Amino acid sequence: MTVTRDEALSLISAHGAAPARWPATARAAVLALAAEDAVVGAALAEARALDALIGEWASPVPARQFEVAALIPQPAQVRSVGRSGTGRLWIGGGALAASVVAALLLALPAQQPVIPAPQLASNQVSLGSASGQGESMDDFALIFTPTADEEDLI
Amino acid sequence: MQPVPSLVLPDALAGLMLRVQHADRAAFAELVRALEGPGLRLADRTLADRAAAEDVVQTALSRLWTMADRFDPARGSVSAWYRRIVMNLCLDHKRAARPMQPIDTVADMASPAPGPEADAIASDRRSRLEAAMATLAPRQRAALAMFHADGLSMAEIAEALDTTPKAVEGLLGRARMELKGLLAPLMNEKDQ
Repeated sequence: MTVTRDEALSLISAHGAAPARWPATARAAVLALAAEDAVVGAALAEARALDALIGEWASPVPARQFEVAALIPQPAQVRSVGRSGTGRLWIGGGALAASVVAALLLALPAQQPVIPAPQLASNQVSLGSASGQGESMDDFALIFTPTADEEDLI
Repeated sequence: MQPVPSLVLPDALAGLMLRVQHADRAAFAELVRALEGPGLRLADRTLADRAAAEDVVQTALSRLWTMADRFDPARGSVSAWYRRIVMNLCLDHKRAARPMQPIDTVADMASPAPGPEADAIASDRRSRLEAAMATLAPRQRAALAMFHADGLSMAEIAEALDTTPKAVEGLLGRARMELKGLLAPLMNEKDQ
């Protein structure tokens, strides 16, 4: 196989000066060309100097032994995920309970008329009397005035 | 520079990995001992940041355990798979991090050594070398480290960088070209 000067320069610029790292098929031809072509020879010498610097830079770094146990996710982590999942369940349950209570709060006043409650009646009267707006105001008081039981709930 | 030889044969690594797939902790420990050094060297050279490199390798080794089921010996070696994990983590880290050092700083760092002592000169030399390397793209540094320090082939580097061997040649050629300009003073010192 023969190589041109450009091919040899391109090969040296990418692979460096070590013939062992060159493609085997081009090795002998590039070496032969470097021996007779001053430009290729100079490129080879320059690549050798650069290889040495890169080798210096890439020299082994200080070792570190990683702790194997720390690399394996611990069962505790899995359990903690489970706990947080349970936590979410509790939060969900709490929200459900809160919404039931809220629904009860809304529903209870509407049922008040069927429960004869003296205190409620007194509220209706006093509010109605104070405002002096007749039946419509009594309805308003009936819906929005909390009973003693509702006060406790609130 | 001589490439650092792997102490564990590829077949042995694959055997260990298959045992790790069955949650064999002893096999995992052997795998960690075999791969932590090469991983740390590659990450350190790619990131130019020791602490970040250790974080990357810690995560990469941990993934060998958590993602063991994904390893398929028919698709490649454990080393290649691991290098790919390390490289992806390195590049993710670089994307997330701020640029470390402007190119102008390199010229500042390439000042003459402050003292005559040999260790000071060596230290200065090392800083200038590191500064020049820091101006390269992480992929270029990774390719240089894999080619010159680990002795990997273009095809192996291409696999780790998820590219083609031809592209790796280009990557190495451009990196060496840039370095020639940046390291000319050091190369001349070496000749003298």
